[in-house]
Amino acid sequence: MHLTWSLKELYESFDSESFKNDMALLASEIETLNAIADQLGTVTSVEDYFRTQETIQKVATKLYNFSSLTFSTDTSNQAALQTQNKLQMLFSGATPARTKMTKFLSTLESIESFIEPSDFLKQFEFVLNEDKQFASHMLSEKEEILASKLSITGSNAWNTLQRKLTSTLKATMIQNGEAKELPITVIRNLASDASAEVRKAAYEAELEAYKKVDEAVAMSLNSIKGEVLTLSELRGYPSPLHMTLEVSRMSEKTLDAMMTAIKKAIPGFQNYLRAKANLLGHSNGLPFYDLFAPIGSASKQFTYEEGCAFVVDNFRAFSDKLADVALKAMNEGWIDVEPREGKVSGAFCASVHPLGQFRVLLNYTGNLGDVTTMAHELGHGYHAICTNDEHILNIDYPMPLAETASTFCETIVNNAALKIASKEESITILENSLQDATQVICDIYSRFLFESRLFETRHDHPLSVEELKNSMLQAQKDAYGNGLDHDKLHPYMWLIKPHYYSAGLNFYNFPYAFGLLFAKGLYAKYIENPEFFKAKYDDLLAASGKLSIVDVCKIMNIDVEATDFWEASLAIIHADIEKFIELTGAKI
Amino acid sequence: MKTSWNLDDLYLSFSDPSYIADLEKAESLKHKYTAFVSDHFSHHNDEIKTLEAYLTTYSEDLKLLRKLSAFGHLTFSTQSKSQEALTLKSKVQKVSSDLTASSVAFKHWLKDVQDLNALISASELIREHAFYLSEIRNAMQYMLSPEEEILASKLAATGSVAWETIQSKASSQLTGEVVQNGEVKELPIMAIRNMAFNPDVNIRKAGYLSELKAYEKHAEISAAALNGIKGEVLTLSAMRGFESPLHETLFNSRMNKDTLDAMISAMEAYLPEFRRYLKLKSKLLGNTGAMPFYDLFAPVASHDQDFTIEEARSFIKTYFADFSEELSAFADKCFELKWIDFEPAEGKVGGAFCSNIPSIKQSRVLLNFTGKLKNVLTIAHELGHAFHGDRIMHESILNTSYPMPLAETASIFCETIVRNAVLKHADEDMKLSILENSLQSATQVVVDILSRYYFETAVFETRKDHPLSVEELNALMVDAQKRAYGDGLDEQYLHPYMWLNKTHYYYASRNFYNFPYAFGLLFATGLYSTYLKDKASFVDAYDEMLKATGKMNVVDVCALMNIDPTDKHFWISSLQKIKEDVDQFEEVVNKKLSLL
Repeated sequence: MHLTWSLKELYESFDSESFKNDMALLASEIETLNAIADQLGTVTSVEDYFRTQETIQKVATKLYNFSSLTFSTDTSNQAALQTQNKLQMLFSGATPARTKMTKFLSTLESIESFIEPSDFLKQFEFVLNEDKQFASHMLSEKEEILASKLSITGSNAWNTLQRKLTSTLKATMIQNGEAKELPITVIRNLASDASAEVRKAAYEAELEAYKKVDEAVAMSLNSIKGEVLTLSELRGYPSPLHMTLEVSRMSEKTLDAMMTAIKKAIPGFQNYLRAKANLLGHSNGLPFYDLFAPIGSASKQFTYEEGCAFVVDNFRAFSDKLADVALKAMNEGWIDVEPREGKVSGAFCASVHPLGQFRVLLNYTGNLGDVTTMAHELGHGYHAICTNDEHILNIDYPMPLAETASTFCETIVNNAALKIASKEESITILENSLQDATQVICDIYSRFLFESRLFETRHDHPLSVEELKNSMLQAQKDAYGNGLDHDKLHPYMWLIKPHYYSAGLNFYNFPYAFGLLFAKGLYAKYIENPEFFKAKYDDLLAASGKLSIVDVCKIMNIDVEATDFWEASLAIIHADIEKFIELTGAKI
Repeated sequence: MKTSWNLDDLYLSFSDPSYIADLEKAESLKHKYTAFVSDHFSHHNDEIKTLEAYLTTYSEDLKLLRKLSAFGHLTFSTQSKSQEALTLKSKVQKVSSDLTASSVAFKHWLKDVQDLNALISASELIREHAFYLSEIRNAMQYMLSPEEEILASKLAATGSVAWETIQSKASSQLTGEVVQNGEVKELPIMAIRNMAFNPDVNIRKAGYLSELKAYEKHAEISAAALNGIKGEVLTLSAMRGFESPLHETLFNSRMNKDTLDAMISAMEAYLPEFRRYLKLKSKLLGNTGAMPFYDLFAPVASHDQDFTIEEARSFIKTYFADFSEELSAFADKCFELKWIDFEPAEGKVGGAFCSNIPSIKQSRVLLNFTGKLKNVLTIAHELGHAFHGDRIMHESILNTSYPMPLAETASIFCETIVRNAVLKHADEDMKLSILENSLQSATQVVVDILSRYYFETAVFETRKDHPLSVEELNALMVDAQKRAYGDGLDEQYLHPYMWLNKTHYYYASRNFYNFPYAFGLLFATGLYSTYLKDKASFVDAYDEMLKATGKMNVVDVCALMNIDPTDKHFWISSLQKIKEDVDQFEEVVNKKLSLL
């Protein structure tokens, strides 16, 4: 079993011949693309464009993944950093081609009749139509070029700074009168330590450490969101939220239906938080530093081997295919397991379609939460494997669907674990999944509020560190209500969450709620009719990159624009909360 | 003698009715120019009339704005807590940025004028502004479309401008640790940097080490800022059609590449002289080898003379009279009419500056005078700027802005007059002190500036390929210092972080903000030797030249003094003067060392 991932399937090194050849190939193919875009008109010319685009996408995916994956476990790797920047510059060189294509498509009366003669192009009908519609938001070619070039030294560079500062940050934790300097990722992982004293000390050390970088990170956030506002206005979107929904292929009606259901469900989560506070001996709501505290004596630790076995066994209850994908990832070095200095925090999965593989980054320390995170990331991996037979230009699924397969797998592992658990173990498992659900509903809701207000204020002026902190506190109060102790909140959550720092992805929060609730709804479908579900599930994942969200969901007969669907998913979580309170006998 | 300046000729106060009326008028300019644009710039019917009307009205309004902004700026510089001054400053800024649209409209209108020469020969007013107008037309070839210009300026707000802000915020809040009396103390970075001037070598060295250590903490942020800014500059400069950022800088400085090349190669040829000075100073300080970086600013003589303001006044009046009665009388008038704010005070900014106000054809000089000889030289320097202002402010206000390389000509020239006069009468100690002070600053302006020029050139080259890491920046800086200082500095004690503490690298709108300093010193020095050769004809020609600095390119301005700045020999003759100072310095040092 490997503890670090292998990237040599991509390239041996940044100095290898194949890496250099691919960099050169990418550059020349982008030139070709621009030349083709100058001559658009015939069906053949559009075919040529897509074939070249296909080559570009394949090579770029490999190059990009190699540099970003290398960077994520070694944030001071210069070659990785330089490659990422060069790739950005190369991609930006394709802007003329992209704008010309969009402009050309906007002159066509019907995509459908234009591609009629070409079987090759028929598979791209959805993305072609989407691109045609984007024309109304496109700037002139020259402005698009300028905007894309300046975003390299603007939002992209600010994003890199935030990642660098937060990944290399160290915090001083005081324990038993002794000061210890630890990487911030290690400190943050102590939030789930069994000792109340450790959790509190880590929280204090964490907040103190952020002061060292808060001015620079605030500037980063202000600049990224400022750039987003500038461009979203110039493109004629009513707001960045509208822009996000359009890019997410999601209707406003869907978001409204989901948010309405969430707001209604918040009091249930407050019951859970107050119950947990009661179990931990707090009378005034849960302090932030105890949000991730383990509950129950069964704070079972899993070695990595045990964690893997647990995931694979439970996946197998769903399907052999799912279990085998997970097993393959573990056996073939697709997973980077443990936290270490210079490695980014959190967990993610990166799909490497040209290889038919994926890579998963974890910061595994052995508690049940880490095991479910592993299941979650492997769910992403399964999603990637399900798109292996799709064309590479049809696999780019929108953010809300991105969390479907991952959350589904998490649910499988949790529910399977619950079935065989003792009462003590049940409490732990339930608590763990409620912990996550609270993040995805309450905390995500706080982030949605924070980001909405951030855009409003940023429209007027850049926000000071104080304003950001206060706004974060307010958002937490609004979203968690009396579930949290208002004197022990986390004013710096904006600083550490990478989701706020991508100019390309805004409101990178509600998709998580969508993902969880959609996956819960899917799971209910699965229980209801396992055979129908299994037959359709892989199709749904495979189609996620080439349909609107409403249409993807229709594959499972789900209407995401109706509040009922969301309320039903939330009711499943509420039932878990009641069960938890009953099992623990906690007072609320 | 009253030691603060008098601003009554601007306004009596923020409640002065004429101030209130002027501000109101300024705030209505946006509407006025919107109307002007739609009335006049939508057609080319009577171009002469349109252009004359624009030049007349724009000049008048510019005077109004400059008067208001001078009042805000000057008040703020002696009372940094004045809310009224701050508000005024931001109001004037708002008016100026509101006028951008009409100024862009004017530029596009001017570009479409078929035959500018015909207009120039037909109208005296237009002829007076021929350079101003041609320069705008010439610059249009590098302008993007209005939509792109707007986008670029909006994105600069979240790009380079934001990078500049975080750099200045982070670097000014920086602190370092030093051990004082066995105790570790945390001091602001400025206090640590000031330790470089301490007579005690242990303190200088401790300051240097603590400074380097402190920079490590925010090197990542500064490197990101530098990469962000220089990257944006490269993008825009290429899109505008400049060959390079250096080409763009030269264009904006009205200077050609031949001039820069001639000057740089002369500087390089004279590096051994500066290294000789550094080694002498090092020896004087008791070092056995080359000088460590932390001794660059070490004082070498304790001797100093104290001056009252009245003494400084008569001192300057006397020495300026050697040059011309007119200069002497002008300087005396500045004292008499209370154009100078002398002493340090709470809430007053540091340093010294001169502000020329074309609206009232007067200047104001701010000092932080503490009675030292150094301060008297600063007065001479600032009054040089004021004299430059006095000459140029009789021109149209549109002809009064001179480029960076010519900005320091008159000031350094006047400083040289006084310095040389003092030197003539000085005893050995005084001589050592004066020579060392001026060689210290010449070394900065020639050798350090050269290292910065090398560094910035290398940064742009590398940045084209990728953003630079902290290690790369440090290595490039060390390399630049080795090339410029050679064996004059101890290679064990260089300063890899100089890129982090010089604000000049962090202005997106000004690149290579280094060679203009060298130009200023060497041009003024060259002028001074021209003056020594032929005093009689110099004074009038000098006047004419100062008047022309705002309406000619650098080569043409120099030609008025029969100087060809593209000829290396001119720069060599200036550097030869500095070499003579090094010779004198050597003599004094050797005498002093032989007495020990």
